[in-house]
Amino acid sequence: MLIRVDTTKLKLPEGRASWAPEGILAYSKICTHAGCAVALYRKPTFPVLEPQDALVCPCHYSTFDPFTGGTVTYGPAGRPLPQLPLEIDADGNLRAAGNFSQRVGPSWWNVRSRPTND
Amino acid sequence: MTDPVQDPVRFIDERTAGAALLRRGLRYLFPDHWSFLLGEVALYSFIVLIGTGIYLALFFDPSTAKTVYHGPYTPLDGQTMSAAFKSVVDISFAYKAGLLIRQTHHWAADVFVASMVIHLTRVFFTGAFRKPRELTWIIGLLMLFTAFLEGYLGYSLVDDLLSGMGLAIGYGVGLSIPVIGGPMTLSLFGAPFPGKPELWSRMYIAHVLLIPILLAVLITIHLALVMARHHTQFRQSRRHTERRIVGVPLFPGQTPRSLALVFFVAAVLFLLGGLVQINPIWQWGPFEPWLGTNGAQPDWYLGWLIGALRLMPSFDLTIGHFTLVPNPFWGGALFPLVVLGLLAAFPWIERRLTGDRTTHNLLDRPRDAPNRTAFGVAFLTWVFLIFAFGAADRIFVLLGLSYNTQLYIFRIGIWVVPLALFFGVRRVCRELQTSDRIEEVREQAEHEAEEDRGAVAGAPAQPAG
Ligand code: FES
Repeated sequence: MLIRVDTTKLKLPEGRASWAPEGILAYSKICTHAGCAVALYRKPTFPVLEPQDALVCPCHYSTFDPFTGGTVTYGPAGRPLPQLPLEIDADGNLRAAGNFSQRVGPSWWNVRSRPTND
Repeated sequence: MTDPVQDPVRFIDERTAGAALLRRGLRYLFPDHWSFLLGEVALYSFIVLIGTGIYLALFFDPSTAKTVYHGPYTPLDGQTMSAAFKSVVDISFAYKAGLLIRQTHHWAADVFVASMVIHLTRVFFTGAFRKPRELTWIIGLLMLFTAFLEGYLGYSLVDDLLSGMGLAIGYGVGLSIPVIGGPMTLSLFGAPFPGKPELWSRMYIAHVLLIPILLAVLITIHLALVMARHHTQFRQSRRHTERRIVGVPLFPGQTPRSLALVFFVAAVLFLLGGLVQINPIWQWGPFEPWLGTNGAQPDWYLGWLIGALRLMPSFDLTIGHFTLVPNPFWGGALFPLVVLGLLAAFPWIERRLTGDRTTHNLLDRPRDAPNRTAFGVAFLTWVFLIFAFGAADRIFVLLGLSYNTQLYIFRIGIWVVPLALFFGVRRVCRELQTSDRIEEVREQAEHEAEEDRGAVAGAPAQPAG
């Protein structure tokens, strides 16, 4: 999924500084808990008191922080949402600059090994 | 002279030697108590399931090929969807009695599982699972868990949003089985979720042929075992003993009752199917792997698994960069296996704890076995609370109690409440036993006093017996 956020709020992990050109972020939409679509976007109605924007899975309410690279902030998921590095090419098109940060999908035996480039 | 009744009957008997067997069958004695009908309700729901299922199979198309819907349900007009989903929308709106049969099928599944669960609790709390009926008990448990799977496949086949979300979770739970989960689930689905089209033919053949046959075989064994070791009975009078069966014969006594129950169950299921909407798949819409929504609740008998998946604290068990136990395993796979295993082993656990190895044909009342009853109540409550948490998001919408608050209440509650109930229920059972004993002594004393008065008046004493 693609979302665009305020760049000043971004706190991406080390090495991902260039992954979100103009604040545009791409994350896998497959929940790292049991594989539902992370289909909810939580936007605070009263930002002063409420937690900030989050990606939420409707199945068991795993909640991911889009500003910090998809880290789990709530719920049963055990891995962050894999992020896809983006770039804007010379023609102004949005392109993937590489593979996902981790393997996508729910956890299994070998899920924590490096993603291959196939 | 030929006789239109006797001759064919004799013809059949001479060639099958069935008369003796039939006579034995017709004389089989059924215990005279309503709670023995719960299992029958499950059996008759199963028959309704088969009947309605055959009708649905005439129209259902187990294919994921994409088509565009044009039909009587205009809100979905022009939508791209799978042929499977389209055929279920058509069953609901285009074919004669389709919606009635589909909803009856769905209701029958819910009632099938519900009556099995209630039957199970009756068997548990009366100790009917004890020697010599442990195998009947285990077959019954296998039936129940097979029925969970059958129901899950049934609503997965529809390919609406709800079934897609359910399948995604099923896939995730499959993957989470330690070490072998990944390759196993992948070979079942054919590819990473949503899998290959073959998945649909696999689920379909399992749902309409393999599992129904398995269920029918299990039901047959279950009933054969019941017949072989005979029903248990309550201690309704002094005539009911471990060795003497009191009841009504299959014919003429039980037959009209059972027939009435068949028609009653079928009538209620069809009334529900006709009057009470269930799973309006056209409102969910077709599934696509990138879709998901709030408030998608599966059928009730899967709620305990959702609850367990949601309650489990977040962690994956890892060794180096291998994920030994992914989180969904605890709630989605281990939890139901523990429930099944504990129930299946219970006859042996109880025997070990009580040292009671004798044969039992007479049932306990729950109070007669305080420890068993207390454990049963605690265990059921544990499962029920986990089930209830599966609806925590609905509870939030209804009562405004925040999901997070509920999470912590339930995480503590599922342990504390059953524990408290265990001691509470055991106490109540023991008090009831004591009051029973007092009552017995009082009756005895009154009886003796009566006899004494008789003796004083010079009346001849009645011979005992
Ligand atoms: S699948 Fe997303 S929270 Fe369980």
